[in-house]
Amino acid sequence: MLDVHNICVVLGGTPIVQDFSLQIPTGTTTALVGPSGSGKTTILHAICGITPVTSGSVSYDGRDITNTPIHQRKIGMVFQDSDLFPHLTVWHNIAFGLAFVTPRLGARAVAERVQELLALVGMETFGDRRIDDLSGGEQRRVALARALAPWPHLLLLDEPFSALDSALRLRLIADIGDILSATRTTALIVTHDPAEAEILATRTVSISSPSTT
Amino acid sequence: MDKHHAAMKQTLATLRRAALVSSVLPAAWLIVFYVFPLGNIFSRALSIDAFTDILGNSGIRHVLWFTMWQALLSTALTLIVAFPITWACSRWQFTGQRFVIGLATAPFVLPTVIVAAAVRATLPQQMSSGITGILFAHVIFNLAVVVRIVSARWQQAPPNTAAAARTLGASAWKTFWLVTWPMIRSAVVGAAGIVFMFCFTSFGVIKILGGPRYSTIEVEIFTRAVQFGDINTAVALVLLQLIVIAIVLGLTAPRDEFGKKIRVHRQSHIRDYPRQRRLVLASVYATVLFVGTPFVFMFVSSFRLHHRWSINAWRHLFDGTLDSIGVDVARAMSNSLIFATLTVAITVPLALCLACASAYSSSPSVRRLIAIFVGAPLATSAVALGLGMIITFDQSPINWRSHWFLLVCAHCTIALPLALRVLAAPLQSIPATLRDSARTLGASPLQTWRKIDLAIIKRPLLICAGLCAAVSLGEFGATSFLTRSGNDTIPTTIARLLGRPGDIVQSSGYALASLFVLLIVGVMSRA
Repeated sequence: MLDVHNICVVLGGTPIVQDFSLQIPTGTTTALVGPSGSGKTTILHAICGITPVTSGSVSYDGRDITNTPIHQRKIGMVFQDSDLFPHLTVWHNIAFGLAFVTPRLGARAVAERVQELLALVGMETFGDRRIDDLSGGEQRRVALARALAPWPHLLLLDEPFSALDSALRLRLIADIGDILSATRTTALIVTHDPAEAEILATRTVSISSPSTT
Repeated sequence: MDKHHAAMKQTLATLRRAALVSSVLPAAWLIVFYVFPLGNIFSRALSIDAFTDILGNSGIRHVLWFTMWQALLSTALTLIVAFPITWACSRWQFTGQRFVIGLATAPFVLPTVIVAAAVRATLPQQMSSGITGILFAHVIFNLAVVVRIVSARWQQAPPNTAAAARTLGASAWKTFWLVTWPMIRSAVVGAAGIVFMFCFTSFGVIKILGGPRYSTIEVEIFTRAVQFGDINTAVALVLLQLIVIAIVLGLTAPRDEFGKKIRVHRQSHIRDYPRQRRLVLASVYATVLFVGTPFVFMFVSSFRLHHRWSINAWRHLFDGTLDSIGVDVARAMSNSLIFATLTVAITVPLALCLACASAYSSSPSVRRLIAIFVGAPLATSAVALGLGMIITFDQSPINWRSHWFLLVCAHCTIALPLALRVLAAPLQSIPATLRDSARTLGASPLQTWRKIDLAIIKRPLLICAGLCAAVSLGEFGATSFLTRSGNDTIPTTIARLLGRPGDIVQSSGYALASLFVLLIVGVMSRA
């Protein structure tokens, strides 16, 4: 279980998040809903370690990970702009995190895992494609596959459906919902759309500005 | 509606025509003062025998070998020293950032002679001439190239890609190597190519710090042409140097593989990231010490005479004491200021014509052609340009060989590519809709240009003027060739003072160099 306890994040002298607490039981999906500028993205960044917390703590399964380096937290993240590695193909983007899994995977195991994830996001034939050649929706799917690849304890999704047209958005919401329940991943989704939260999450947490619950 | 549309199209067409017509002037300038002199030295003096001679001459082979390895080593050291501060400035915001970037890039607008003088004042006596000083000066001078080029690229790399790699389990080092490095590699290689070019063609630094033992191709060209009158060998060396530079610049030209969709990203303030704060602070302090210390030492040395504190070196600059060794500081200063004023007066209008021709052209290939044609003097050594001018303009009807005006022509030719770079980008970035709006409000094409384009590039024009003045004030390579008795500039005077023995003369050299630093800082801060 993820336990975020009374965290505060101050950036540039301005409090962005104040006394925010949240608990996510293992295997469930929680949605964090709030208006733009309410600190939703900062909360995700604080949970995975990109942004340091000023006070409070973050623990996973009882272990305090507040000061654990990002790469040792085993928390996957899908960024708002996908932020795929532009110099790598789809295949290598997904395989990226598998190089750091312990115990080390052999080439065959890596290939099998990448193929499994490509199939999961419905992009079996896209392995050799360059990132520039993908549409917005395809990039989101690859970003999701990349984040899921190294078997993270927790998956954070930052506005995964923003800037997509409505048809694609509906299809992707359904697909991601299926993938999360099929993989039984513990997930925290940030969105400003309550409808998206209702479809995807088992629980919705609303925040106001600056973030407190 | 159609009438308006036609009027708007006509505005750009009129501007384009006017710019093309006016670009004839700078094109003619470059043909007369760049293409013709260089073409002339090759057609008049290049021979196969001269090539065979230079390759068979063990002394010259030694110079070639030294030029190559010191340039490679200087480039590698510059990249290593520049890396921490480039990282700090690209990734983080911190208090005093503008000052640090300004300090790191300031030596680049100073003459190499001054940087060399500062290094000489810093190193102990026994190391003041030799490879240590040469490498130290090259690194300080070229730091700006790496910081500017690489940080511009690094700021475009989305910070979330690095964060994504970290969340996937990559350590900080693996993240840099696997994600950041591929994005900045092209800029690093491009910057390395330019640094190599500057070190390979080093002249002022070697003249001051090389002593009798060390000589680069550039210095050898000067020595052969001026001291031995051996123009054939000098020309063969010019060509050899051009070939090496062309190959290196060709191999290291930046490729913009991931540049299409990339934008500059906001940096995070370091005070919010305690873990990285120590590294950033260490990079900043190290850079400030590395770059600032030599200039402090130079300033202090100007007040040291016979191991005691004294202001005599400063007094001697203007009290006529140095006349006995043929140095007239007041004259050199007035020469430098006159040449700089004329360089600004000639170069800025020429660059503006070219920038307009480039910005208003609808064809990218015309823009590229202008950039290559005008940029060529940047890749040509100033000494080669000086040599070309001296052998070209030495007979009737243009016998300017001993005329001071030829110095100004050389300064303008060297400053033109830099001036064009400053003006072209802001002109190109003016949205066409601004001109359209002015036209719909009744402005003629000329009024539109004056009220929109000229008004917007007012600040770049000032920067351009400051840069041209700085180039002219600091130019040393071509000036060494073209200067005659009574035409000495501040850099040539500093070189003469530092090239002579004696405490008073040396300290006066440091005093003049310090005064010059203040002058350049004054010029650039006004721009």
